[in-house]
Amino acid sequence: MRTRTRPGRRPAVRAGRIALNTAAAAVLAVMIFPVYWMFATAFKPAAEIQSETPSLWPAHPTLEHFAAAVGADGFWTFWRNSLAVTAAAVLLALAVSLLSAFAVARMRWRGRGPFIVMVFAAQMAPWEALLVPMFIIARDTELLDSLAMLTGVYFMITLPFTIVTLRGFLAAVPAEVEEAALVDGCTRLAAFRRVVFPLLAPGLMATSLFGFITAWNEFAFVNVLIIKDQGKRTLPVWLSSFRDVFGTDWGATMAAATLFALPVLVVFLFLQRRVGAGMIAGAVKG
Amino acid sequence: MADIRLEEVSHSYDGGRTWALKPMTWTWRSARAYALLGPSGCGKSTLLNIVSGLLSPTTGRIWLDDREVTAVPTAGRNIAQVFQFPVLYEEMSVYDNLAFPLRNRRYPRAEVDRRVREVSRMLGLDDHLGRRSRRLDPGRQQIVSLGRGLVRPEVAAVLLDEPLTVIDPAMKWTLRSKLKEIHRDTGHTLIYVTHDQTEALTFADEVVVLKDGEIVQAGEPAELFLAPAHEFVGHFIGSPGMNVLPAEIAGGVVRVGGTAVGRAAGDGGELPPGPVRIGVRPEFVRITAGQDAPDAGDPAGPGLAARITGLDRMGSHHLVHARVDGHALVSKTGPGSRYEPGTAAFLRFDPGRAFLFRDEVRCGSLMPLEGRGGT
Repeated sequence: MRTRTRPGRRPAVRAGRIALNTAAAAVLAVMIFPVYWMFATAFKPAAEIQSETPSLWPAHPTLEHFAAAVGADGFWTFWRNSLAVTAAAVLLALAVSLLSAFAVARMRWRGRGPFIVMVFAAQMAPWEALLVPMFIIARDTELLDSLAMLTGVYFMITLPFTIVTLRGFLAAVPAEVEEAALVDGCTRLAAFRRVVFPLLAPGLMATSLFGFITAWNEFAFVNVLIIKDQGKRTLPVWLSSFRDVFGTDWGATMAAATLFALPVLVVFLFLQRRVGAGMIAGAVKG
Repeated sequence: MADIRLEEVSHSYDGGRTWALKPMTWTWRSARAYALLGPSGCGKSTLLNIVSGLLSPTTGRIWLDDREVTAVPTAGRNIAQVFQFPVLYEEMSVYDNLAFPLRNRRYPRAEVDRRVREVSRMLGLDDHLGRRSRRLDPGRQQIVSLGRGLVRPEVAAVLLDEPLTVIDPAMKWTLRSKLKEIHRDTGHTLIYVTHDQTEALTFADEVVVLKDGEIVQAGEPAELFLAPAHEFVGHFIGSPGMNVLPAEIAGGVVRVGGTAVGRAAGDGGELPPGPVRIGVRPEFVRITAGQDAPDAGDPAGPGLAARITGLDRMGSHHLVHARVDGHALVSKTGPGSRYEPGTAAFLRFDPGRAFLFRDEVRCGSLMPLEGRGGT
């Protein structure tokens, strides 16, 4: 039976696979190209960028645009602001959501259902709707132009998502693993720390990466909450104001954009394998 | 090692609306091998988790000998538990998995090593000690889980929750006899949850049958087979299960459709007249083919008139299906016997092997008619 069906089936399977691979390659090309264009442009000398026949890659690569971008007023300040705000918000969100995800996934308590619904609802709400209320809160509490306020906002934005995702990852860890650890002589805390936490590591990385991207790229709130003190701005806002500073220096703009995208890319590539596995694991149960 | 005593222990998962476990008082005696038998959802795992402390009972108290442990968390109870599916610490090697329960209890390093190697040799894990536990096949993973349950020298009991479900049949037999061996050597109290009667009967000193959160009977395997105390035990144990035949008691005589089949002997005094159910295992139903009563001189009467409806040849025996008074009955006979479906026959029950049930609970037994004058 087997030998008879196989030769008949194989060409169909192969054709299907080729079609799928072609589609994947096409999608990849569409997604990658703008990013590649940004990179390529950042390395092209000004003349090449302005040339009438665009070239696919820089003929005479140069770093002058990067020098211009890094040397621009306040680049390092903004970079530091971005990093500090993002890291603080993500760490805070992770710590809080780990505890609440545990409570939601593992414990039974009155109001657990409504709590989950509320978290989901919070995640659904468009953040832009909160721009004005947040501005008013910040103004009334004199927290305008403050990185702490910004951190708080990013914490708020990433928290629901982090709770929901981590809950999925936690639910995917069988309760028996924890029970076995209790039987094997661990306290509840030790069982969590020594047995559940290692299993959760990919989930934590995936979640923190998404949180990181969200906070790192956030533009609207910085724009509204940081109004006077230019020294408190973050990279996205700086990038948007870049054109004014340099006129239409596309090379420098692209170099700045590259520098802006780089940390996320590096972090992602570094965590890529674990995050991929984590996303699949989280998707099953989450 | 200690007796584990449950005192009026019960459990409800929904605040008292339904009871997964009805109040029970029961003692697991030290060093015995118990099988906890029952259909899924009967409360077996709940009972186990209450013993190990993963679950706090809704009511009642738990004692290890003279020490009350109702409020003592799992880690303080010194009980080992093996779950139905492999539970591994995936990040650790097989060795570290086995050592984990000992290290948590701060056994000296040499002792840990000695115990781990002993258990791994017992379970045939020697070649895998250095491997990451997640790389093992499921059967072997379960053996590692089992090993973790057996590695501690001083435990009050080892609880096994259908531990051989994921193991392939050939290995199952080996492991089961290994468990028996280990039980003999260590003298641990074993509580072995299963819904497989063969497993329960071959493994245990004592079988505890649980149904709807209640213990319906506990006893040695032979006792459950020969004298079921509940219709459920009759059905659940034995293959095929016990026959049940509606009957009527009047004047101390049990009648099926007008035919007197025996005398009613109540377990606790005389049985009031009224409907009753006769329970008799296929092994104890004798069948005689023929139109006429087999022996007219028999004081017990000719037996129950029946019609043979079918025959299953099982190799080692035959299963003869018959209908009596509109009810189906099965008899187990020798492989050489000849019965023709569609023919008439007479049935008789072995003395002392047929019982009377009311509301599913045994209330008495069916005695031969000849002693009628005695009561």
